[in-house]
Amino acid sequence: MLNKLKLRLRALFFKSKLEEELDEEVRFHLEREIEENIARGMTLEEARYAALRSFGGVERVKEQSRDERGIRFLEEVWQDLRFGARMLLKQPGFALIAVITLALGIGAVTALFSVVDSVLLRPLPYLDAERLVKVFEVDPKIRMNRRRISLADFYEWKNQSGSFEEMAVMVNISRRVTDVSAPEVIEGNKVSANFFSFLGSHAAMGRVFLPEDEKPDAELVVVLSHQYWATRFGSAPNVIGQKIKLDDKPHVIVGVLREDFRQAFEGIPGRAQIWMPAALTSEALSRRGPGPYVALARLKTGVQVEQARTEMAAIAERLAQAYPASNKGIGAAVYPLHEEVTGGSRQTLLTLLAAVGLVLLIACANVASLLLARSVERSREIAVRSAIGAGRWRIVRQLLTESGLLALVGGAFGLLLTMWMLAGLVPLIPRDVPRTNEITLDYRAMLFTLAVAMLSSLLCGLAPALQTAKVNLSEALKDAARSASASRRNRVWRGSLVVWQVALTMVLLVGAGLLTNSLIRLYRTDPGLDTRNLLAMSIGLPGAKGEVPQKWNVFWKSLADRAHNLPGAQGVALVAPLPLNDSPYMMNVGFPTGAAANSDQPTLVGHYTVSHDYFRLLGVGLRQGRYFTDDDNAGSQPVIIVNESLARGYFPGQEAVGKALILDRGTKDEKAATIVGVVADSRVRLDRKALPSLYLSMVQFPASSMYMVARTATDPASYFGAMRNLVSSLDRNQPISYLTTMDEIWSNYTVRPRFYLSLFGSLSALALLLAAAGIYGTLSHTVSQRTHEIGVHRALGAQDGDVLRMVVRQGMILAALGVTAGLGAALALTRLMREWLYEVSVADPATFGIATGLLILIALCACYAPARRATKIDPMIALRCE
Amino acid sequence: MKKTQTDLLQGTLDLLVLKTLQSGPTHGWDIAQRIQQVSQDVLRVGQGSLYPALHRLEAQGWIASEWGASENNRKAKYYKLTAAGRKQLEAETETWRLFTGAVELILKTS
Repeated sequence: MLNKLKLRLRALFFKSKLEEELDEEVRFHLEREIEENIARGMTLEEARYAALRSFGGVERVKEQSRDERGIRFLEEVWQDLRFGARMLLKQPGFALIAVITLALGIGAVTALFSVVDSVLLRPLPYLDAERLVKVFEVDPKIRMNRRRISLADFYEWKNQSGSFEEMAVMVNISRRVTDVSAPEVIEGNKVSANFFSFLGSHAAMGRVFLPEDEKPDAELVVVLSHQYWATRFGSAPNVIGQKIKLDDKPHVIVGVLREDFRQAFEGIPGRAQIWMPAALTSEALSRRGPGPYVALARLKTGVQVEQARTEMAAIAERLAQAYPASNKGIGAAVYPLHEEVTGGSRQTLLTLLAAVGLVLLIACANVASLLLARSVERSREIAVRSAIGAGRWRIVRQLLTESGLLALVGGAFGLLLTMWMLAGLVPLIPRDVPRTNEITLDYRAMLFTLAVAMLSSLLCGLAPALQTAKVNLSEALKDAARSASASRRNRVWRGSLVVWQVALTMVLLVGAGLLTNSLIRLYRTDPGLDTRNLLAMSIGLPGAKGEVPQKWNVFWKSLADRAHNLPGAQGVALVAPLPLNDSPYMMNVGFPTGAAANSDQPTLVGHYTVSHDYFRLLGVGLRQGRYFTDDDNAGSQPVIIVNESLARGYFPGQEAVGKALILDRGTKDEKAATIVGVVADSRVRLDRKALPSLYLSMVQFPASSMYMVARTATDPASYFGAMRNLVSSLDRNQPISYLTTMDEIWSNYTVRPRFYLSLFGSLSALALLLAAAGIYGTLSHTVSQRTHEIGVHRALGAQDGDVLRMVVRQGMILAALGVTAGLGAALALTRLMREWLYEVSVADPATFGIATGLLILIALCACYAPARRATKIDPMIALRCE
Repeated sequence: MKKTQTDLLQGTLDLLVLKTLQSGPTHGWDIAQRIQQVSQDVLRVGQGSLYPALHRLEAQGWIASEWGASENNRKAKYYKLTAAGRKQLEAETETWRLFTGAVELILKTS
């Protein structure tokens, strides 16, 4: 085998040596034959003649021997490659442009592929990840497909099911870390003891959980993420066995996870810092019905998801009969984990990949067009080659080798570009796209690049190759440059390529336009709140049992007072939850008779708890009645303020002020409260209009967890340090959950649209450039091809304007065809973007109009230069060169 | 009386070349001579097919070649059987025997 390979390589690379050897071998044979013949008594002359005759055609034998080396095809490919490289180097400008064009297209596609591959295609980084599923409860009454479960139900499932090899359970938690210099709130998970072995993950130090860790009376233990160990404990090697205070309870650190452990499901990737066992207390095991837990399971080999679903449905049925109080009517659902993790970003990423694919197509069309232009110039060469016996297939192969060479070099440069593009792209990807921390450029991406390069070489090379090889011998040899029918065919081909390019560019341009439009609207949105220079700090008080809620207000008041006295602070207020950042809490409210809502039925409305200066600080205008005053206190009548949506929706044409609502209707906390004021609507989220909501005074309805907002004289971020000091001076053990600025919150809304726009924007700019180059190149070439014809026109009295019009018209007809086709395609394709758009229709006429205008303008510019050149044609010279 | 000369059956040339090389490395001319001699001039190898066959067998890996000096001290290309070639020779010999035996059987019956 190795021998054979050696022989072929030798045949391929040491051809001349081999030829010599063949010569010598034949010569030796002939000489022996001649000697033999002389020995038989012939004269030298006769002997030589006889030997040659019996050998029978020296060259033919040599040729046949050569063929037997079995490398004829390879030899020809090698020959083609060398010839191709020579031809390309002869026109370095052409080669350079083609390579750059392809490199951009291939690079962009590979970059996006790397993202898609890492996020969507690669299996999750766990043991037998393809068999992992999530199991939920289903409540068909309220159409809830993914209800989280209680530990009690989970262990029933685990004991009864036969479809699963193993099951584990988990829930996101957050804990206050208090025994350190800067207290903080960290995120983590409560898990069953088998969680890590279930995923096939090990500890880098210490151990993961053991079955005894989840016993009710076991010592409290915790496992740290590698990152938390590094940042919080400075990678101290002796951390195992140390204690850490979580929610005031000491936990023993038993292990540190490996650096490559990724929790790709449940929670924002990379956020989880701690894992602790879910204790199997008798209370936890007896509480049924909905719970906070998510069940994970690994299907047995060969068991299909469908089978597991059927089995789980039967188990749910049995539980419903056994525990009707909690489980009646509750089903179960099984979903593959990979789909659960990646499903949400599938469409986004695939749409982006498609958009990048369009750019590659445009790039290929450009290169194809260049190759076609060259083929006209080379028609004489091709004709000569076929006249001396090169078959059509042989010529096509030669031309394809050339485009393959271009694509390979383009692909290699593209791969370089990919690294650079990925470095720029990955940080822009919105946080809710999973697994972005797993994105790498690996061998799969390289194989993909190779495949794309080969595909693009076919895309851009096949049409020109077939076209060129179909050369009309007599015509081409007679007059290479102006074979009329061939060049007309060529022109049609190139023209249709331009139409394609323009159409594809149109689609991208409309996409980018819609996104720009949407982003502008998002920026212009008036949230109904004055968010300038606003700092926001979230604090959750421990709320120890038995503590009087009024005591919270002592803390809040001293916090607000001290913040107010900070130099540079212009106003302070407290609110829960924070508008724009969180949706409002919801509450069942009973309306009085006469209101639009049925008073018997509780109605869900939003509610915020605020300090009295909230409205003035945030600029929420008063419409009727009054704001809260100091007279509204714990001892006085409960009062509320409602927003306009509530007043308009539930008291149409009536005075809302003075009406009484029943708060927490239908619960034991039911309480009547009087409306004293109506304020302007403010948005729930930047992209969601106001809900009917009411405001409670924090004095009358204390809250343990609130946001303090403060308006500052200068950049609010520069006050972070002062705020931290302030809180720890009040209570050294009080962590801050979240410290941010309103601008930051606002920009969270624009992360996604900005990501889409930056991608689409750069893609459509690239497409526009390529399309313009395509139009320019095609027209320039046509003008040079039609020099003679234009010369005749001029000789017959055509003016500059006439020639200009003629050329420009030719280009603009193509552009117009492309724009029309592109508009149709865009109308069909922008529907894919609907979810990305904010207050912009997918068929927004203004956007379509602007995109059309822009494209036509660019096309005009691209037409102008060649047209201008056409007017410079001197009729005398043009006619003489005949 | 002149003996009948038989054109070589397609494929048998490979077998003959391999068989000839079994007795030791030699060059193309010698191979042709030996086949002719051993078959008592019944089989005559045309050079037109010998050299392509040698190159084909080499490409298959059944024979290998090296340069050496001939009987009268001239540079000649010597071919020798490889291990794979030896196996191939056995296989082809067996096939040939089976084939000729079968043909013989049919000829006898009529």
